[in-house]
Amino acid sequence: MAKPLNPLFRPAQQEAMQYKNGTMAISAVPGSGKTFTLAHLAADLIGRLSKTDLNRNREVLIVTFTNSAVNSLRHKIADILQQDRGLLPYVGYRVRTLHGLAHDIVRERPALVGLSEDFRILDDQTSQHVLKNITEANFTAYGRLLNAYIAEEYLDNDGLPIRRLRNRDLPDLIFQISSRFIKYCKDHRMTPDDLANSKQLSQLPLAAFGTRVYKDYQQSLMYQGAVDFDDLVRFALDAITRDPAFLKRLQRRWRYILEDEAQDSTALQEQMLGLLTDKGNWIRVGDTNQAINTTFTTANPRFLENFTANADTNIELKQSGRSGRPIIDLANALMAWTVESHPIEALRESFSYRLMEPTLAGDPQPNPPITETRVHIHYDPNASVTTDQELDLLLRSLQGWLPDHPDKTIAVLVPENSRGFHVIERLEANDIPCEELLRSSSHTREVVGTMYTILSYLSTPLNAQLLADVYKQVWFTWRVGNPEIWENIGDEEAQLEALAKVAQAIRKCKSIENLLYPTEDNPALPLSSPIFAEYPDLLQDLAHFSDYVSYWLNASILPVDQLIIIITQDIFHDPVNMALCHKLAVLLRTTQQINKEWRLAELALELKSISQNERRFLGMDELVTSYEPRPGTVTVSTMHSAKGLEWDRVYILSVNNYSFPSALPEDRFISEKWFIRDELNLEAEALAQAKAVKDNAVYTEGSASKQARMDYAAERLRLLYVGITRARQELIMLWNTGRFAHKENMRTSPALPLQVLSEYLDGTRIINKK
Amino acid sequence: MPAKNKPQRGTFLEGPVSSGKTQQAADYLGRLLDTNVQGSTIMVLVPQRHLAIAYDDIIYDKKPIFKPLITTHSGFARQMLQRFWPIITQKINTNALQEPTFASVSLAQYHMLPFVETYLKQGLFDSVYVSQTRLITQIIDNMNKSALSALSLDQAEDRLIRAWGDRHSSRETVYKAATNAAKEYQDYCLEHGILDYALQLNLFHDYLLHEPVFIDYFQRNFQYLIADNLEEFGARDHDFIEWMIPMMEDYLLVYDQDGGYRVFLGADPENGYQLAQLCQNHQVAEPAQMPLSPIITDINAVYALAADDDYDEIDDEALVAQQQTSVDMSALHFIGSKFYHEMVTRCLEQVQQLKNQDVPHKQIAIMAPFLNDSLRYTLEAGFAHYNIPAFVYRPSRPLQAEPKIKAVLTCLCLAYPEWEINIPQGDIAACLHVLIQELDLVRAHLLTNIVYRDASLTSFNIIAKPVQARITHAVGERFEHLRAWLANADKNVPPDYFLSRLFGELLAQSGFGFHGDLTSGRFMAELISTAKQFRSAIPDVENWSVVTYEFYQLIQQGIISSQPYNWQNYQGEDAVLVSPAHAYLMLNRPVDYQLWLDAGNSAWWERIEQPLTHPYVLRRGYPNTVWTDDLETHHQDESLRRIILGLLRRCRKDAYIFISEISETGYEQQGPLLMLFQRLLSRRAE
Repeated sequence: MAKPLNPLFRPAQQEAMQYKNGTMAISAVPGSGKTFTLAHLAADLIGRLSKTDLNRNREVLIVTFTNSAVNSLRHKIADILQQDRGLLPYVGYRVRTLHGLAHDIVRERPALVGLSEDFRILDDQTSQHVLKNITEANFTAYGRLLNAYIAEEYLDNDGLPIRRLRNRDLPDLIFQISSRFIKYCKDHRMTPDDLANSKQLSQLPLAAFGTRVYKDYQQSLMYQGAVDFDDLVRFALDAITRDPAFLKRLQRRWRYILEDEAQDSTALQEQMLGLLTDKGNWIRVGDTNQAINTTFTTANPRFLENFTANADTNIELKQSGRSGRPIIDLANALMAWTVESHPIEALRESFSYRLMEPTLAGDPQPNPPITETRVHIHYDPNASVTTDQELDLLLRSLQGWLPDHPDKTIAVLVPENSRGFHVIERLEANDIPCEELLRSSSHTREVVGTMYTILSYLSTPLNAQLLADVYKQVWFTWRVGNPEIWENIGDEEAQLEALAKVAQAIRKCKSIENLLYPTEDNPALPLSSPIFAEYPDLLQDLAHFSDYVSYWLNASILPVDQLIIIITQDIFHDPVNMALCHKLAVLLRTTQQINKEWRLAELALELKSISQNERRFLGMDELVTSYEPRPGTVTVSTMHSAKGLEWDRVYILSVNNYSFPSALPEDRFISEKWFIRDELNLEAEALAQAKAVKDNAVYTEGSASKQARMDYAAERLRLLYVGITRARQELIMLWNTGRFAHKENMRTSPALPLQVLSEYLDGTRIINKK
Repeated sequence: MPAKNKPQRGTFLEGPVSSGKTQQAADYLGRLLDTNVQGSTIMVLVPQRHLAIAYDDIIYDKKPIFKPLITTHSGFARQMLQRFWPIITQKINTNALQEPTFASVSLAQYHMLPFVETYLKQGLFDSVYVSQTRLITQIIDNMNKSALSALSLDQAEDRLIRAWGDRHSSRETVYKAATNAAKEYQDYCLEHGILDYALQLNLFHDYLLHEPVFIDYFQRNFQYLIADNLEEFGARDHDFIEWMIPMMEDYLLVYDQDGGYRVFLGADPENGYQLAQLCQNHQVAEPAQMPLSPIITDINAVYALAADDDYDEIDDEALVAQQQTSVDMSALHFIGSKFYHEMVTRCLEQVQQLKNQDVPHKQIAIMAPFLNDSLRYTLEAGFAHYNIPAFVYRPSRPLQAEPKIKAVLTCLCLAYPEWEINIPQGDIAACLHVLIQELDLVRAHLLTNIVYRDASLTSFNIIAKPVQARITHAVGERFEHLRAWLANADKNVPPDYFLSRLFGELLAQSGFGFHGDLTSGRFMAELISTAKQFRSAIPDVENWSVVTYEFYQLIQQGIISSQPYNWQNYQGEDAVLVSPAHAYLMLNRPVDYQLWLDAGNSAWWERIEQPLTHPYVLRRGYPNTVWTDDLETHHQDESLRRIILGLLRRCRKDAYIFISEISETGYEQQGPLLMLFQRLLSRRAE
């Protein structure tokens, strides 16, 4: 019997909720409520299991793409279970990324894949660090293998690359190729020995080069008993393919598997989930038109398309209530033009032709009214816009609009992080409230910065300046001591003034030892400042501060992770910050295990690079809470990070032919290096050679570079589609002439889709949408 | 088997924990001593020496003139090999004039290193992701387990290969390489008279137990046997017991029904149970009734339900009805937290609450599936905050991780400048801070910045007077003492001599870091003993500095690590015990209150899994078949059951179960222990 209709569901969503078993594909256009549907469906299945499987460890497994999505889904499911169904919120299911799932699997049977139970996982950054060390240490040997690809004009008389290349560009390129090559091989479960045993290898210099680095890299991991993220996935697959009984146990455990963002599924994920479901109860949700993680990965929207074609049940969530009609029209126009008329025929397959439909009357989440929806494309064929001018335009627009719309959410979407940092700088300089969704959030960086301040001081305890920093940036900022002392001083301005004076007194302290470890002979604090006469409580606060710092100093002889944990407990009382610090502790412990000669000073610098955004660090804001845009505050985000989110007003920046190339002759491509001959994309060529080894096939130089252009251009079209569909009511698109606008041959032009959509808007171009 | 063939007598006593078995056995010992049996003819055999406290107490009370021998199997084997060494040397290829060297695990690791390195360089271990140190320990583990099961290395290799099946071709290569390294190592050891645990057992069983001279000696000296904790012995230990039995006037064998916690070390409880057949009397001790007893019964019921093969066929309603119970669970308290740190804080608060109720500290035990550094220090900091004495038991902690041992190693570098090790300033400051009392880290940095030049220490006297005053003259005096000692000490002596003198003449003296610190003193004793073992294995030394340098390097790399120190002396200490759950079970110290941390962690269920070795496959009774996942889960379920019951039976009043929803690493946790509790809770009848 069909379940009663839930008024919250649209008809197609209701149809999905009727699922009983077997394979089901749900294709969902942006804003069609796919996460909502998935969470309800998962909760329904968990409820079913809880009734019949009381004595078994049966679970519903939900796999998604990012850590933030894991968390968001988990909370949504927990809420539904608890509020709608009265069940325990976190029992009977698990939500995982592919890596998280792989970790669960390997963790259960590590010896199956040659690991001890205490195996260590290197995070992306640390494994990159290991690889960088290897490529740098072997630069001469590795570099020689690449000389044949350097354009002649960049070789010196001895046939070696010119100094500039040797110093900077080549090491970077070697590292990038190595990184891609190793990832590709791991994604295809090829070991260095598999490659080395190929007879073809001697004919394929890039593959030979990659194999050598791969072998060195794996040996380095092996000596440390460590694996990287990519190893985890292939090992998990190895474990379940090697031991059928283990696989069967997991199949019994995970009665239902739901997969979100299935368009980003990689070959290994497809394989792993295929095995775990035994092609049985497998539900895949996604939108191939939002596949934006395919370049240089084995992710391919075709996996989802094939699954859809063969699924027992197919559901299409076509109605989108997110955006106003004009924005939906624009997104549909981009798709229709690409599919029907893109000048490069191969790119016409960038999209599956699936147009968005607005909601029907009476929908629980209707589209914003047409009258409140606006689209503007800043494009004049006769005028060019520099990067600074683009920011000026953005700034003026925001300054004019924000005061009148304090209740609206706004985003500035950029194609790359680096552009985002410029935007943030500019907004902050003009006092426009903003927050970022770039590599790490500002909150994460603030916490990391706090820890950096402390570790810096602890590594050089005689440095009064650093101690003063601890007082200001840690003790005062996080109100570690008695906050009343500061409140009694007065308003914020008065407090800051007093703080500056105490900090100055600390800076001038000539005997820090007496401040932190007063002896019986010198019991008094060795500081003098009129501020203490004015506010005697501050002396008491300072003594309290000294107690804490000396306590931390005493702990500084412990391993760094323990030190961080001890400090954390003193400073942070918010679980999110505490958990974030714990992650930091683990990170630094691993870093020190790899760099055994590093001490607190070097480890502190590692934190500095995170706090200054030079290095990515997964913060708890990504792990614990999903991002919710705040009205009146501008979110600055990459378009990749914006996926799954929406704002009332959205600006899309840098829509030029560098960030969004169309594979036209004048387009430049980020992976084609200026010093490499014949416009070869060496990363793509290296992977093509690896593929030739894998398939024992013929390799033709140059084909992969051409294909890479196509793949990249197709993905950027979809990225633009994702960007457009983030807007609810207002969308503004801008472009610029690029960083090298002063060099004529390097200047960028408006992206072709920008021109087309601009013409569509002003009526000079007709796009027929089927 | 020995010639003497007496009729069977003897008693087999089995029962769960806390049923008074060991006390009965100790009383039996007391009765023997009371009835004029000569004490030295009694052997008390235990799997670990610290498990013999009840027998020590009886002997202490009775004060016999000739004391019974309380020993482990390997301890006895060592003693006998030493005594009968000339006989052994006739049978093996070794230097008859050389005394045997009994190698600790550390020393075995050291000797194994070059053999493993050879195969590592050939890339034969490339398909396993294990550090060199772990590789060595796993190969040694294989040798020990094979010896305990009386398997040859070839047989062990054959078993491992068969158990692996045809899943992955390179694993066979790895096992073969490991076996070859082990064989080469053993040949080397025999040639040089170095006897590690496996060789001790092998030589003892293969040669001495068949040797008439030895049998005669044994018969003349031993007539009574008490063997306790049979379930924690390996099969070879059981063989030894079986060998002794016909020669005994009487014997008592004690078996813990739910034990077997040392399976990962080669214990074979099922094999041990077979010894019951050699006993005339079979007694079963009943467990004492405690608040947690009903829950123990219920857990067994849940396991029985789960073992029902037809389970899936039962319809839902019948299933629910079958599960309903009315077990009183009031002695089991569940305390949930979202984050790990919150959980630890709540645990500390609970201890504080118990303290406020005047519960003696030693009646509280905290256990976790494993005790990593951060948990240890968080707990220690918390206990310090609440002013609660605590003892953290971590038997496998490496020596070099202890700050004071690190400082001593830094001293070695300073004493031997020819090593040319450039120590960072911060390490010198930390060393001085740790070793010189009343020297805080700020002053230590101030001092180091001035006196540490060109990798050596200069005199305090060169420091300007005002700065001397800042550092304090008392500290300056101690520093000078330390500096002078390091500069003037005789370096061309074995490392253990050097360390002993450093400790005795300086560091244990008033004003220095080891003064009054018994725990650290124990670590130092371990270091010295390890150094002694190490250097005794090196023949014809000309330059001790080189040997000491090698010792230093191996300690730093973790190739040489500590042995678990003797717990015995801590039994009476009035402190809250913090221990990994498994180690707690092996300590066998029942308490009134237990606090279990991190119940959601799946590590409660998982075994220590290592790619080169396997505790079950290398057990004597393992059929020569593939180790399947079903076997894996079955053994893990069974192991978890034993752990839970073992813990609960060692808890006299209440158990507090702490659950952190999110693990230390940020994942939600739903390990099998938690799921079991969930099932217990869901069984409660409404």
